[in-house]
Amino acid sequence: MSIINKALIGDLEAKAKLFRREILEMILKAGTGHPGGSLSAIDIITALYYYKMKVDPKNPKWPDRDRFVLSKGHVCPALYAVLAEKGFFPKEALWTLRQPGSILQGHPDMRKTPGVEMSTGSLGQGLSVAVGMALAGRLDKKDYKVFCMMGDGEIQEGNIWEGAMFAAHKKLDNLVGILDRNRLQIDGSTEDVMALEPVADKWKAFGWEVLELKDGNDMIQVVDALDKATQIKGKPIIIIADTIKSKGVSFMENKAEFHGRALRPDEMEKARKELDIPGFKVS
Amino acid sequence: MVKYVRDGAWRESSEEFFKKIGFAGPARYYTRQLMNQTLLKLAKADPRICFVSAEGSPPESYEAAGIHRYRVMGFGIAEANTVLAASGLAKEGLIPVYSTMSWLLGRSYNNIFQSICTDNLNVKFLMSARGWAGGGGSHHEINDIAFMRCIPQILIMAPADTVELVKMITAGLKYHGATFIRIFGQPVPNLFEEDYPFQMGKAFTIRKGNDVTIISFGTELWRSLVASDILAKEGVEARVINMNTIKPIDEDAIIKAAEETGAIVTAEDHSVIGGLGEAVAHVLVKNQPVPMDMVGVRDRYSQSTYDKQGGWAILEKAYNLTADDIVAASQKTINRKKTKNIK
Repeated sequence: MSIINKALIGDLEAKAKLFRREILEMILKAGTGHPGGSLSAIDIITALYYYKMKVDPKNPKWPDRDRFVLSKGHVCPALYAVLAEKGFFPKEALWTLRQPGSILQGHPDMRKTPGVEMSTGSLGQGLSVAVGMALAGRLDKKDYKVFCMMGDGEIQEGNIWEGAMFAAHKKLDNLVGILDRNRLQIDGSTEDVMALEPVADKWKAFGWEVLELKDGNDMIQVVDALDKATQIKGKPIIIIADTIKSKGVSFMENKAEFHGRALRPDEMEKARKELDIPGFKVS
Repeated sequence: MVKYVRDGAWRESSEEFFKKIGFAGPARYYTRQLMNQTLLKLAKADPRICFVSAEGSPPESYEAAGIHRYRVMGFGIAEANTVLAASGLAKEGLIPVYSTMSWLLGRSYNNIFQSICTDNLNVKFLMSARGWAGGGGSHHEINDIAFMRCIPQILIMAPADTVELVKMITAGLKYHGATFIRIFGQPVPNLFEEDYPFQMGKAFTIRKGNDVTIISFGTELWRSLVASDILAKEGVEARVINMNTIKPIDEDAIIKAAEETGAIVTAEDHSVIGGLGEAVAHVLVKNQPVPMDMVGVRDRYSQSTYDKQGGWAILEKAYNLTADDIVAASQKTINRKKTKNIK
């Protein structure tokens, strides 16, 4: 790896750390939210917005931008942290998460939040919407890419497989799916609740190019996978990213209980020590 | 009779009507043909219009008519994916038209509510209420207005004949926002002249009268007119209103009718729960409560009939949707008005 790339990776990692802290702080302030999946997904979302995707925060509706659909809408704190840092809206908005009248809803709302591409929240719907956007790109002869992040529990929804079948049938190579494979859902392990394995084989059987990302919380691997994904032609691509739920805070990692609750003040104190950012302030 | 309405058209059976225009085959084919012609005309003029289908609509005919194949998208038997892809297409500025049978709306409801209507995306649902036919209860949608009507901002319309159908599709596709047009699947006589001035959101009074108002739409409108004929013979002058737009509903027309006639009857080929009747009642209780009755399917499931001449009539009778049912409801309501038994 070149020196420039090392600098890039270091920068992305520092950003992801900041976002981790912001995610926990905003959920703490809101009193409710989904930290576990936000922390497992944040490295990939950071790399998308700071490395891979063409976006313009000053012009969120720029027609040639790449699109990101967060199908697992409940981890929107991760997306909000990134969008605020990118400048889509002022950072102070982060501390209004889930409050009445806030531009930051408990699940993404495209009409309220600049930069949010699609309203999501009802699991299993985002992939098909991304399919529609990819089709529109083809119709309009645009070369933008559509990235769609799904949760692993989410692909238990039958709707996902309708979208998967269609995307392959239409050879939508402007569509990149990302599976946040953190192996936990509300009720516990995905493999206990409703086994997904062999998950790579399932996507392959549906006609997708599968890229297995061994560590979806390792920035070098994330960047590499995103590069590979955007070079493949002739079929839709899915990055199956093995991640760790609640990655970055040791006592939270791999615990289903942190799927959907805010930290208690004492837990938050511990987390702050692990995510120490000099000069960090909740305004 | 008011201008723009073919006098007595509702007395002509649909069979006679089809004979006259030289169309052989089931009425729904005629309706579909007209619908497709209209859509093609609009699509040729506006390249943003595209077509999504989950089986059951013939993409070839669009292609044959010169619509680029990319603008005609078949999704196979997968309604959820179809409506969601329509959402993505609409979000990017296209105008997807999803045309299928009305009963398939319900199975995609959460997708429609969350991923299309929340953002009022410009998707057009042209749903045929296949209606009273061989398919039986599973294939006859009598609750669609109920579950679509509670979606904020959505536009809901239902044509009463083929003239209105063409005007409504044309207007509905030009309107920006989620739109549900409920299209009849059974034969209806052509009520309107070609110059009928259809207006979205504006009720149209077909027959004047001051004893009772029958408010109706779609396939029940012509029966309401038959009912008004029967009532006229008894000396009762019934006003008949075509409530072609169910949402947003023309409140002024309802309030005016209540003030001037003092008795309201609604008639619809839909459940009395959540349909036109309740929409009208909502306006009345807030503004001008008067005696009212509702003709519609009474909290029941539908069932099969044979898909031929007369097949519908049997079920219409069994489900209390006939002109006689409208007459009886009108008389009952007028009596309540006379005895002032509103407490």
